[in-house]
Amino acid sequence: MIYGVYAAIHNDRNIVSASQSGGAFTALSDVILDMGGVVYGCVLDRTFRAVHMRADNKAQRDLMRGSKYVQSDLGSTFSQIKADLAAGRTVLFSGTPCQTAGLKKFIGDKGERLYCADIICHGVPSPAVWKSYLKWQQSRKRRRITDAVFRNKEGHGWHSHFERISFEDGTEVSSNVYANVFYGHHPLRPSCFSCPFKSLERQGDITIADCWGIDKIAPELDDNTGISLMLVNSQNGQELLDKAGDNMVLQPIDIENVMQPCLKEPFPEPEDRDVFWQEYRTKSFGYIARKYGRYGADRTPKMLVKRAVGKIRRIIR
Amino acid sequence: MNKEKIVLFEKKQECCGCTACAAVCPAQAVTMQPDEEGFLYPVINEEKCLHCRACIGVCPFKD
Repeated sequence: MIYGVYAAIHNDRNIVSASQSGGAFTALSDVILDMGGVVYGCVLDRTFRAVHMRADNKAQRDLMRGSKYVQSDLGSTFSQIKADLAAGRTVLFSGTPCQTAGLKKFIGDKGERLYCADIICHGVPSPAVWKSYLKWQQSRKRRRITDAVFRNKEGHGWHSHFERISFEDGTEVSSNVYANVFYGHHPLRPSCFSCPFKSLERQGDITIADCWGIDKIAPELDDNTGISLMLVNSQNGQELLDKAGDNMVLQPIDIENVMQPCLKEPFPEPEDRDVFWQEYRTKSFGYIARKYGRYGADRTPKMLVKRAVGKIRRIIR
Repeated sequence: MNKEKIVLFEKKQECCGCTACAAVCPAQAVTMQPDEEGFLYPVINEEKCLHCRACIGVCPFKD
């Protein structure tokens, strides 16, 4: 059952800028932290590996903002949450629907103080492919990577999908090679293709996501800086949103207007998934980048001629 | 107790890697280990396994 569907934008523009969508996770987790609770969420560690971490303050929590397009390593998160709940702490867990389903089954009836925010998940790519991608970027640049952002909203706007890789010499690479590989679905986990959680029967008390489709129904809200979609799925979720609502502009919307493929059914497994993995194992990542990431697609002879003609036209005009 | 070998998943499609089975195991017999694609899957240490089937009961893919 869905208690409510909202487009949400945090009142603090700086928080919207620092978040992937409209700052919904920050608003929800602020409530938990302000009442002395703890927050669990996914961060990129120093080696840019996605891992779940525990936060009991806002600085640690801030590291959890921003989407990660890779499966996180939960480590001992579930046991830590069990211990926190046993100690009487209020806990907010954020993660994929399947992680949330596993956690809830593990905690069972001891979860009165457990709040869960699940994301609308597209599917989780392999950590190995993400690591290979970063290695490839690093070897092309011959500089150490100092930062990685999966979806650089700052540089390209909320609607875009370009990753940004920063290097030790202060330079940056903006690329959609990883995004393209991801959207081909080859690097997704096998279980993603039979995911039982891609439906409106949600695992989280609240589901958070990008509010895609808002430009069609309330274009005045969309200035390309980011808007969250929030589905309230339980009484607990409603209570949490009631407390977080003061910090956001909440616009009730009709779910039909913001339906996403990942709320309906899993994607089919690509027929050539085996070919991808065979090539991933035996060829360089540059080959994967070209074949599956459209790397260099703008450098084909045809495109080079087109560009040259454009340049000459501009000169002789 | 049934000493039959516990099978957490027959096909990889049946495991999302949520770690619930590893967390619930009273004997710490379940550890998460990467496969050749880099995804973590639970592996049961048969020597430690108590065959209590708690791991099966907690799996969100077995409903």
